[in-house]
Amino acid sequence: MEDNLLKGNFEVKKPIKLGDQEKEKSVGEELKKRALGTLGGSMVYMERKHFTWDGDE
Amino acid sequence: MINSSQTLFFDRIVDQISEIGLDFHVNNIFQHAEKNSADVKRSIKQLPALKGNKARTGIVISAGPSLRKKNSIQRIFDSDYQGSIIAIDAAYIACLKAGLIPDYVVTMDPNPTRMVRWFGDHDFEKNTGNDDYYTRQDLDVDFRRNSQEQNRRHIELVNQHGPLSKAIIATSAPRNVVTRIKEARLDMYWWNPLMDDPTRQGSLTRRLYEMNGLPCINTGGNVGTTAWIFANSVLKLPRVAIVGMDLGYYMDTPIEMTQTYYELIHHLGGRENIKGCFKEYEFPLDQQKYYTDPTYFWYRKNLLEMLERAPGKTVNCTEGGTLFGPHIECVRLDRFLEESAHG
Repeated sequence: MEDNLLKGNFEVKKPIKLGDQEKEKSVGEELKKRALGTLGGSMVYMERKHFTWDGDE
Repeated sequence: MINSSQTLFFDRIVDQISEIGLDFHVNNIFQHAEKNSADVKRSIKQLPALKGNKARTGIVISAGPSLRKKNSIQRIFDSDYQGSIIAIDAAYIACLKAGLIPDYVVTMDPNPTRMVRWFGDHDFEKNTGNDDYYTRQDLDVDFRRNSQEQNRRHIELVNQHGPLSKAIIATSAPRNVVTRIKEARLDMYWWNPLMDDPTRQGSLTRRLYEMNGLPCINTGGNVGTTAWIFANSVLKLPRVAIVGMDLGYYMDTPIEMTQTYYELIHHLGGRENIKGCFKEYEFPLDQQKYYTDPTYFWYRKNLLEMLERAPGKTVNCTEGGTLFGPHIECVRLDRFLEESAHG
């Protein structure tokens, strides 16, 4: 209701770029990913028999 | 701390760590490997062969809180230990401050702003920013103080002693770390982190290997374990001691000061279950309790798995923490140093 009343009542001086919102969203995602990243350790690990691999298996 | 009903919850977080890590690191690893390719002159296969005492035993110096509390570096220095010294990046400056020059310094973490600090950071202010990572480092109060003056001293120290150590550097290392190591004139010996099964089709490890032909090392998820694998399987040292490998915290460390506290809250979506993220262990040597978080628990699990299959003997001289099991003997550092001195 409030949204409808406000709609078209005024013109904003600076046009809103939807791209900025998208950018904010992706920064947020990036921060979230970065936060979780520390939880994931300094490096990847996989369980396998040999500790090293030199292309010869 | 954790109770039995929280075990499943704890295990569920631990199970997700591999996936979180791969998802987080994979792009950085490939980007850094590509950017570093021009600096790759030597691989770890070209390391000079070890002779005499250096070939008999080694000490891996990790950077857990015990390193400072137990004065491990100073005790190694005072003992005139003649074997190989393998330090992780975070312990390097602490070694230099004690007068102990590591033979090898291992680095691999792709983090673009945090790791360079271990070598002295020319962009100290920019990279420190609002990051409280160092305030949660127990090793060295100098790193907690965040002071420009300390950082300048660290740069000088590394520049002065750099040529005496070899950098065992992963292609995943960020450019600022590579640039600092070059500037300080450590000889660089390169390797790739092993990320998945290289024999499988579409393997990321194989892709990395095809880019640069460098040997790959399974890291165990952290640089401390990598340094141990390097000592055990690359240098092939028959007897390796580990110090500073707490893989956990002293009981008087508040959980808010643990390495992934805020990340866990973020992951859980609140503080409600946070206490279930910490697990207690009793260390056999001192019968004291220590606690661990899911990430350190994951490191511990990986390392214990690897120890089961490792050639050679490994002893834990950390004198505390959570690392113990059937394939690793916990002994006092002084005992190891004494035994090593007598061959």
